[in-house]
Amino acid sequence: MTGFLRQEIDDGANKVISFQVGKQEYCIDILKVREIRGWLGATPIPFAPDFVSGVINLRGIVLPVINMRQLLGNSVDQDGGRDVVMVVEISDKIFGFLVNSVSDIIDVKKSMVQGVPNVASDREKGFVSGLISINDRMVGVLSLEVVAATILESVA
Amino acid sequence: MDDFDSIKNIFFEECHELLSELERSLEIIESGDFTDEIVNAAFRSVHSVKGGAGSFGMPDLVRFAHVFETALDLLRSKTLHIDSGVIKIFLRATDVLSDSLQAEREGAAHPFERQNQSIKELISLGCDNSLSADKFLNRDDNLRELDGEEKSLSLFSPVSIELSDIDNASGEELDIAFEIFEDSEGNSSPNGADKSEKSRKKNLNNEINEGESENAPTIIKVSPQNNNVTIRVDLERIDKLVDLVGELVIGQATLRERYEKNHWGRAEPVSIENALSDIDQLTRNIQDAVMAVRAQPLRTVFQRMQRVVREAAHATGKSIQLVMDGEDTEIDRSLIERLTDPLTHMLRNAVDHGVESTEDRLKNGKSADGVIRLSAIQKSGRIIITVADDGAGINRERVKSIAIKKGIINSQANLSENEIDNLIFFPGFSTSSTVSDLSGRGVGMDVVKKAILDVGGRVTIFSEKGVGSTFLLSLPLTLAVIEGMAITSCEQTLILPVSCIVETMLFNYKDVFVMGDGVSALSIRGVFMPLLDISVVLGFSTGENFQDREVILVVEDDDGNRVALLADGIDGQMQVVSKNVEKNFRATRGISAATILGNGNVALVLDAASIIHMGSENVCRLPYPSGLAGIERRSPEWAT
Repeated sequence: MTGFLRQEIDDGANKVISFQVGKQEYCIDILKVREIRGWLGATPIPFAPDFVSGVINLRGIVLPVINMRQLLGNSVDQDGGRDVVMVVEISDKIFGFLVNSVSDIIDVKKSMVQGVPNVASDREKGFVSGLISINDRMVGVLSLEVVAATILESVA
Repeated sequence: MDDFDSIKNIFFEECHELLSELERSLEIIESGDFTDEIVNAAFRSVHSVKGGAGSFGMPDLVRFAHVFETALDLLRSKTLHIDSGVIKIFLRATDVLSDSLQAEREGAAHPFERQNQSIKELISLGCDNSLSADKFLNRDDNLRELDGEEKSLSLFSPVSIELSDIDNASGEELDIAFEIFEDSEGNSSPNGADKSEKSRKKNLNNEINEGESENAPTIIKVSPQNNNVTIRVDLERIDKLVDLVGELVIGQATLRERYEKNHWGRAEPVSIENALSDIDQLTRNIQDAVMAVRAQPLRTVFQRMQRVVREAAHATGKSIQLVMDGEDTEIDRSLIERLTDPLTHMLRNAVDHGVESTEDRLKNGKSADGVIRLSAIQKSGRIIITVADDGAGINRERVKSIAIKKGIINSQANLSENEIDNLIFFPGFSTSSTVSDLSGRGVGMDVVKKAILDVGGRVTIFSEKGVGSTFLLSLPLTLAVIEGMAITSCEQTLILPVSCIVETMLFNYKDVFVMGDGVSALSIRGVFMPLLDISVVLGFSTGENFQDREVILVVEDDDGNRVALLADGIDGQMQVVSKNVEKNFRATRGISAATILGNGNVALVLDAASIIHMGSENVCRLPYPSGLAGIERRSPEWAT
């Protein structure tokens, strides 16, 4: 995990946590993340969509792990070794997001978020609600509502 | 819920127990073999309900309970001749009192009509003249106000003194509250007259405090979603649990200390092993102790069935005796709640369809009274509940013809007796040609079966013509832990509930037969059954090299359908704690739950019934390697 970059905090700033999926960097509200765990493999579930890696045990709670590379349509090949699971709570359900690495905690003001350019793929545009440019990096703001809706729709 | 409400709740809980007690006493009295103490107990039960209702300000209850009590007093003074008619009146009054309490608890209207009916019956038993009938009857629903005469009967007006107001209460009010309180404790009348008012106040306070500290039951909330669900647990059981947890803390400290010592080379490894095995033992004991906290005797359900049978017998005009056995058998609380409806259905059915009418019974040389036996017994980790009637047995010709008429079976179907009996569990099946008040809406037995299956139980039926029918319910002791068989398939560990496994054996490819369309059957001692590969059914593999698999597990669903499941190996039997998968994901076909293995990984618990069903949909053909040397692909004659 790279060192945390501290931005100056100003009014109305939200802390987000940014993570690497394939070559892309995304971020979500830090308050949605319950914990981050090393990836130790999951138990596959029959008839689950491709992006569900399986279920894992989090201190007695059984939760599904979503392979974000598969879901977001980025490069599917496993990076291996450095994968981590972010445990995320969305509307009373708990999911694990399998990502390559967690990179940063960033303070983000509304004004920093740009629109998604029209050149992005439809799939990408659906999941990403905005872009943040920070230290010459581009960080996509992941829309958890859309992600959750996609997961629940395909598993319901 | 404020304090007053919670005290009120305890009152209702107590009333529930008092009424069970009353019912039991009345039944003993009916049997003729009773002592004065039993009669006194019955009287005291009603008296305590009245006292409690008085102090909580429930005039309608007090009025009814008073008449009931007065009638019971006739029993006590032996001025009433006891026969079954008298007891029936008392039992009916008990039911009415129970319903009135329920109405009071829910804030609903009292069953005034039935109250009045019952009051008339009770007074007809010959209460003394001070109880004139019309004084106690509710002429209409608005007649809650007491007329002048009744006002003088201060006992009937609600007496409620807030504890905070007690110092301001008048001596008369105190007397009443005091008396009621003492009476509701089951004591004799107080000799309050020679006590000063002050000391009585003190006493009352003391008693109330005492009641709260010592006599109050230990109430434990079971489910956080429903605040009203409480259970009463013997303090002894809680104490035992606390003791065990204390032991566990010590055991854990011991283990840690020995481990650390060992780390520095100063302890014998065997001492760690000892500490570990202590903790193993403690864990098991704690598991048992926690189960014991949730366990409740079946008496609470069984006791209610007396009334069900009584009312059903009354409605059908049959004379039926319910004999109960094993009410003390304990079962998980959650199961108790889910048993009430199925058992009610089954007993109503037994009364309505099982036991014949009195004339028919006499004609067939049976006793006039039908007997229904309800019994429970614990047997090898399960609870077996039996509902047996001595009626005519299932009329198989009739069942079969109705099943054909309703399109449940084919008219050419050749069914065994057992299969015919099981037809009554089909949805929409009802042999009653007219819809009766009790059963016969065609929503009986299939609902029973579903309710029992839902809690991991089974229903079995035995019936003999002219002798009677017996329903066996086999239930797990608890819903939380199941006995499972760990198997491996495609490097995955899966759990199969032991209850569904008929047998296990080594797989021999020679026993496989292929039917025309590529569906496989396995011959076990000459009997063919469908062959399924678990990993193929679950979509984990396409079944290449299935012929190299090691073991066969023959599994059976509750309808008796059997299949042979192919797996790579059997790891052994284990207790598994089932975890919900649906909460964070979705229901998955073939999977009933998940569990955590010793290594922290998740293992899926298979649902035998749905796997068998999936197999029957022909989606799981096995790929037969063509030209596999040495093995002849055969088709049995029946497949061509």
